Amino acid sequence: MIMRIPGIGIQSANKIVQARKFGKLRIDQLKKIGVAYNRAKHFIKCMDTPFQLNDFQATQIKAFILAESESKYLKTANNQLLLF
Amino acid sequence: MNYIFDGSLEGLLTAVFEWFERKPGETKLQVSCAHQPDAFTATLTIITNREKADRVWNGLQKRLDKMWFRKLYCTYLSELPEAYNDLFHFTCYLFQQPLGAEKNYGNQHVLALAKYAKSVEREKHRMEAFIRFKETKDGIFYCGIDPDFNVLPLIVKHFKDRYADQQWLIYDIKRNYGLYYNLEIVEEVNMDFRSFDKSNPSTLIDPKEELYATLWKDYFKSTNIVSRKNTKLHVKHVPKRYWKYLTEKEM
Repeated sequence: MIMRIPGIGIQSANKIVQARKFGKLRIDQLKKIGVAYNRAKHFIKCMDTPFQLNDFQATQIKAFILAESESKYLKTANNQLLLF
Repeated sequence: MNYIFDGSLEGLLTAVFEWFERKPGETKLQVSCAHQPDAFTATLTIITNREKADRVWNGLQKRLDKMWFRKLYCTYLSELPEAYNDLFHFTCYLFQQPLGAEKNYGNQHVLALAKYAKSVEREKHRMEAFIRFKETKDGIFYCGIDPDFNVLPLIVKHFKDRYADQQWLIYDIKRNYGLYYNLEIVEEVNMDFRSFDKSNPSTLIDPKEELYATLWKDYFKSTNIVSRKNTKLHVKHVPKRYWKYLTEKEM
């Protein structure tokens, strides 16, 4: 189940499962394990993630991911203002 | 608190023993040749003691399985000062916790150990792949290597099994020691290169070597597809620092 998260593969999943027996994991520990934290952070909660009031919808998470992307193919259509 | 040791495995294990005897609190382990005295931290020089090291070693054998023991050994072979420090703290952590604590990937020292061990194993794998021997006039196959880590103890078994009927000599130029196989056992050797005549290497190499090198390069030239060249991908598989070992790169 942990492997389904983007940014976590077999090695990281095994390490997380073994490490969790000793206590909750923090963000820096996850990064050292080798998790692609930038990709995984929308789907997981660590001991020291900042508090979040709302649960984000799938469309909102997609918007976050796209906002971070540096792809040259992503065209931003935000230049034109809405009329209504 | 700074612990200074001589850089050997026994020294490191003695340092662990001393730490448990004195319990000084936060310590940093440093090698004596790389040590710079600090005005504000107390230092203790560790005198290597074989019995103390043996006691720690036996204790470790009871606690670690084969995989982790090998990781420990590989980290020691990396010869990095930070690796020694992490190894020291890892051993101390292991003895303080109940059995099975090496699986705690939350601990920074456990993670560091896994990382160093992986680098060393990678280097060993690459050395096994990229060492190319040159036959000398005495019939010994020689190769001088320049690895980042001390991988010679790890590659012994591979080459002994692979070239069991040929005399070979692998020499680590950086660390000034080598391994010589004389068809029966592998022994450690030290060579003094100052006496060699560097201006004319062909006096030592067998004359057939040049022919073999030409044949090898011809083979590569014929199988190479120039239009499918992808240097970026190639460097990913054969990093540029290993190109000096390969005959085909001399073209």
